[in-house]
Amino acid sequence: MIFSKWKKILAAALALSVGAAPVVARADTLTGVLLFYGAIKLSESQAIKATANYYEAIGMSAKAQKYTRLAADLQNGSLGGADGVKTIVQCSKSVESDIAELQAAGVYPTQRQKELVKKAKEQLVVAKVALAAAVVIGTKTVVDSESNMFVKLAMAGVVAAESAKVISAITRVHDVAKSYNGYQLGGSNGFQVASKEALPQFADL
Amino acid sequence: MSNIKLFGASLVLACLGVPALAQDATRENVRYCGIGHQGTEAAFKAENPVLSSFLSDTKFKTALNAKLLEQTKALGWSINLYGKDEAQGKGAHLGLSHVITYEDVVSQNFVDPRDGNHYFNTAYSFGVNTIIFDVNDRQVKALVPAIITYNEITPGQPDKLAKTKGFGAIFDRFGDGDSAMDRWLVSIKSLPIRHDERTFFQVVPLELSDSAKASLANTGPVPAQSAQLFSRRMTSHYESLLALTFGKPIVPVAVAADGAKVAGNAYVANIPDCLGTSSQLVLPDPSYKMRLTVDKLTDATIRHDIASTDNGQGATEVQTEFAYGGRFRSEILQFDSLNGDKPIDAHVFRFVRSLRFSGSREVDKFDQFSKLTSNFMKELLDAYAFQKRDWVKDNISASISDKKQKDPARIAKEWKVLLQDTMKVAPAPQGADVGGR
Repeated sequence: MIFSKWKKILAAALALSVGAAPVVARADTLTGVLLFYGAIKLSESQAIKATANYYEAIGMSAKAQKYTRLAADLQNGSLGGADGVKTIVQCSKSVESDIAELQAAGVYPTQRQKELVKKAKEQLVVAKVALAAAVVIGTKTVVDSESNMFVKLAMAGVVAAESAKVISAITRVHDVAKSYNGYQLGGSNGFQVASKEALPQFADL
Repeated sequence: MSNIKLFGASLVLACLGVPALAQDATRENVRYCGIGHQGTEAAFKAENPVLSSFLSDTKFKTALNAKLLEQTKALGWSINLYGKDEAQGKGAHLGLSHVITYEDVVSQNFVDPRDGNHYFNTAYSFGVNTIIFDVNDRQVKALVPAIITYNEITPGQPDKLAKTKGFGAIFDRFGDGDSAMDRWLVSIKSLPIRHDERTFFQVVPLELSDSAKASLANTGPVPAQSAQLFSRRMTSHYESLLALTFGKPIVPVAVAADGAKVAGNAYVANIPDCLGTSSQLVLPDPSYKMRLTVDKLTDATIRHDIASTDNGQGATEVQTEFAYGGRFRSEILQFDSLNGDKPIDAHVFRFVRSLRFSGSREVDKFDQFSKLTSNFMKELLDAYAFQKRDWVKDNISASISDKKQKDPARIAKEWKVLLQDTMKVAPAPQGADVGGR
């Protein structure tokens, strides 16, 4: 399911790259790097905003506001790239834990809260498109760079590493989305699939 | 197939299977017999104090019956349903009653992560069998069991008065379109009983191994009788899930206080509007029986450290995962009155699920094992009905060593032949609301 979504996003990114190609082709390596990091930051900030909206959708407005502010800080440059990923991972784990707790207690979301999730889903799509665009721009910048092979390899490594970090962060937000879906559906008596740490203890069943 | 079965099957067709048509003379005239309860007056009162007090209130009962008659008529079933006075002179030898089978109240303490305060989540539920029967010879012709559940969150544990208010809220909100009672009627309305209906099902009382009984010992609302109570509740639950998932009428099983099946095919119900008190109705024979045995129930507690986001100092929050697992043996038996039970399908499954809370928590095992078993039953019946290969793959028991016995593709194929072709199971669309816990 997630893979098919990623395919759609990559297709959108390829379409985007067709539009961006002339700009990147004309730009020098520095511009390419700036565009790459700009897209990465946009992706991260949208992922944080999406997570913040999941907080809003479980009725925790204070935490939602906190992460909305962090997303704004990231966009205006006051939060470093590494911090952005760390923030997404921490926030997504935290909101997932709170969703699990509400689900376990048998507390269900209101209709208004369910509607708030639409916004989070849209932001997650923007985050994925921005990430895919970053990958395309980064790859093209490396290929078009007039640097020697060693520098090109180093640049490719940075593009791959930065992209991988954001992919893992966005995957975490996906996990939050899945948790929320289970929560709003109800009907599971608050139960969830057991963690990989728990399963070995039931191996003989 | 006995005449009773054929008549019952055709009645199910007549009552439930055909889309609503304009009033015509070909429909059966059925007299509405109001709300009743299962068992004798004294036994019901002893085990169901809140609902028996509601039912003894004449004013309440009259108002509820009027609303139930109106809503049951609106279901669009192809019968002419008449109230007591309307039925005069219509020759209605069939009666329809909503028979309450039990009441249950379960409270769970929790801390709401949104405000850090303690609350109680209380589930009020009761079982109800909608039955159609011959008023003259007292034969049950069709029976659809269901469970109605309503949740309420309160700062304190509900006392006797709060419990009365909780059940009262179920009835007060009836008719607003989204209440527990409305959802129940929608679920039985959507039963896809087909025109070629031939089969009645019965659930064998849930059996517990000694190991499973030991896991339940000294738990639950009546610790000395935890195994018997568990068996009774889960059997009722399996009946309602079976009827609504398979879209089949049920022959209810009479379970004694010790969890054993009561011999014979009598169904004792109190339906004062048509039959007087404590009438004995005759049940048809089932074509198939579903038998579930709990071999093992076990649990584990796992601590997860989660990085805190609040202070940025790398502090950790502790989340506790309460994991529960069971090993279940599920069998389908073919039944006829001459040869008795003949096993036609048997598999062993494992099922593990968990709850997560911040910090540590006191959790009642009886309630959690009940929920685990209930979730397993729902998923198992879905797997049968839709021949879910992946579900079999994920849940086949580790105790099975025979490769053929654990081959998901083979099992799914066998189920397709058995459930769809032989048993004519017509599952309700997935996602249909079949009640809560």
